Amino acid sequence: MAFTSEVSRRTFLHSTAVAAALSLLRQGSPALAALASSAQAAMTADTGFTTLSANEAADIDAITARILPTTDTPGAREAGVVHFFDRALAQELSDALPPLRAFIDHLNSGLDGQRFASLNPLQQDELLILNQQDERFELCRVMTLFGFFAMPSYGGNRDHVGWELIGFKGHQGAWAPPFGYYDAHYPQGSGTDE
Amino acid sequence: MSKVSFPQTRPVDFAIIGSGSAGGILARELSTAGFDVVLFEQGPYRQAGDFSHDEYSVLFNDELLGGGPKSSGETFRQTEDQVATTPRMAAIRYAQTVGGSSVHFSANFWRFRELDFKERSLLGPMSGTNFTDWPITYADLEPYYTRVEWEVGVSGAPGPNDAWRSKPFPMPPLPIKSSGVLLEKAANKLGLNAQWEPHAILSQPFNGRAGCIKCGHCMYFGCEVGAKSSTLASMIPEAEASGHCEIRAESAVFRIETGPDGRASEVLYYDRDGKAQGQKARAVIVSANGAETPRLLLMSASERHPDGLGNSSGFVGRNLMFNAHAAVDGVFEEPLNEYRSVQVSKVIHDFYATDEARGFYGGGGIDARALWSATPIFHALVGMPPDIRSWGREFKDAITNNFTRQMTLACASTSIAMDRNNITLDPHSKDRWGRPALRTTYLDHDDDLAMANFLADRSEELMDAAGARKYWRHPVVPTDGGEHLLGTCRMGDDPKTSVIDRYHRSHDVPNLFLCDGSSFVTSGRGQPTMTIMALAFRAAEHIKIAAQNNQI
Repeated sequence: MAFTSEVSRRTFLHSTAVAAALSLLRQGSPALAALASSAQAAMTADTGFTTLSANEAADIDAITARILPTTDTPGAREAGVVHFFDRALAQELSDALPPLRAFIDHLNSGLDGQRFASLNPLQQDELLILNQQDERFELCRVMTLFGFFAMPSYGGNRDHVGWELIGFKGHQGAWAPPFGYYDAHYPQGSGTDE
Repeated sequence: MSKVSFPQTRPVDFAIIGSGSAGGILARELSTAGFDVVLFEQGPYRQAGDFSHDEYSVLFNDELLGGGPKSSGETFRQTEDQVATTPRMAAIRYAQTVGGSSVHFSANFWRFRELDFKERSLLGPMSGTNFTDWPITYADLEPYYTRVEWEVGVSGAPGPNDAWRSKPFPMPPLPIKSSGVLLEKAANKLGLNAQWEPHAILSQPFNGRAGCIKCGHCMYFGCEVGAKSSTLASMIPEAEASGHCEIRAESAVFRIETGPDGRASEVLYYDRDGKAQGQKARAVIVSANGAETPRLLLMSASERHPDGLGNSSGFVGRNLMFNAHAAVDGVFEEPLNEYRSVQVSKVIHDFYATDEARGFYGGGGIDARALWSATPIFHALVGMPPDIRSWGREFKDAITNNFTRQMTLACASTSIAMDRNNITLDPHSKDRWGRPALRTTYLDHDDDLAMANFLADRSEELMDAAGARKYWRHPVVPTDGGEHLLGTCRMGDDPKTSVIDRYHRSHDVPNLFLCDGSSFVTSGRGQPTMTIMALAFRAAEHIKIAAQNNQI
């Protein structure tokens, strides 16, 4: 394996919908960052959605909140991951919109008129466990991670909540040793002239 | 600095195709010697200030890679009896930007050793392979390794297993990381040696360039302060300052034209608007990398060169080698913060040589590094242990705890040259310019996989000795592509079994030179860029002398 092979092997499985989304993502547009920042202005908390309907947004928000739940620490909901979906699905991941809509319909189809968002978290988890092998769930999962950890200019990771959670101080551009616990306690101490 | 630009119809002294590790050095060496050079690059001319820490764009939108498989049309298959298809993720991974992949590589920077050049003589033949010696030795290349260290800028300190060197490193190694301390602790327990990892990254200011600020974004990212010794940061500014080198970016070469005398005469390319253009040249150097160099030669077939330019041997595109890899991840009690500073600080080279007692050919290194704990998305997608659910509370708790507490023991090792692993032109697929797409056919040799597994076994022992709370291994499987693109236009003394001579000149076309990973005869142990750069300095010296003596 080359190290980058692991991304396709471990996450994107063998899925047409995800492949479409991934290849679109990888095909990319050089102006991706610019598009994202222009979209960000319209994307403060809980404003309206431009791509998703209110119902779709509520369901996606609920799905992302099961993938990265709110516990004693913030999760996908606090990071505004649904806003990443709303923006990306109109832009670099527009190919993912039809399979995602179909997946939401699929989840809602057995609910006797209820919607996924109105179920309680235990019921939501049960339904997602039944569908976790579905390639469209994997698409939701990967997009949730993108929305949680990509720069806030892409719509999610509000106030760097994703980075803060895991201890990634990505906005600090430079570091000096010691970097971590073990090198701070390096017995020889002076392997370099730092 | 006023930038020079050369007319297309008057032949320049050298057209160099590819501005990466080799092309950047050749351009600097030849232009500062007074030769007029046009340096072609299909990607744009980004500068240090254009690079960012935007993981989503750089790792998942191929910002530096030129758009991925949809735009390249490239195809992959394991064996010739299969139909090659376009993969989701590029099989051939290299940066399209001035400076090439030297811009986005992690800059781990090993010299080869004496045995790498003569292993066939040391070990004997291997059936079913093209395993052979290089026509040059370590001693031939050593002066040029030293030039790379002192002119391009390399940090490091000698280790107990290194080959001899004629001069010390120009600057000390980058500081130790927690991963390096843990590797060293484990190595000491097991009777192995953890030595400093050399880097093409400046540990202190050097040649007017800034030292590394330890921002942690080396792998896949461009360096925003120019401390990574890419040819963009080191060689290309000097080439431009000579007044003899024009960088022609966003220019995708599709053919090398030959004249009635059989010599290379003109380089045909698409400009940024997709319009076909031509540049006449007295000599052509192809440094487009181990996949693109053979593709261009195959695309340049003519009546006189029916199987591709410079391909009377049939060896153009053959013997592709990616290096094999393995990885073992481990989580520790306290934070390592591997996302800070360079990827690697210590490496074990005790398994470098082939040991016949293992029962298979090969050797390699084990380093401790951040790998997928350097950036958050990569970590969450690839860095999680296989025994937890990939979503929900347990998953969130794992990424929350592990991101700062995880490291990877990364193993890099040999690939064996074989006919069956190769680059050809895809008969159906085209790239975005309409050129026949790259078709990669590749299936690792059993010994390559065995060696990778051997190193993964040792890495598990090392994780245990280092005191990891938990560790797990990524299964070694045949690769679906690579970044190390080696062997496809190998050098040799015999024109029947090699493409270029020991001075990088085509056996068939006297004014055509090839220099990059394609020139390799064997793969080395997994960090090829230092050797690509040393070969480029050596090739440049011989090309310069030949040109000065009118022998091209």
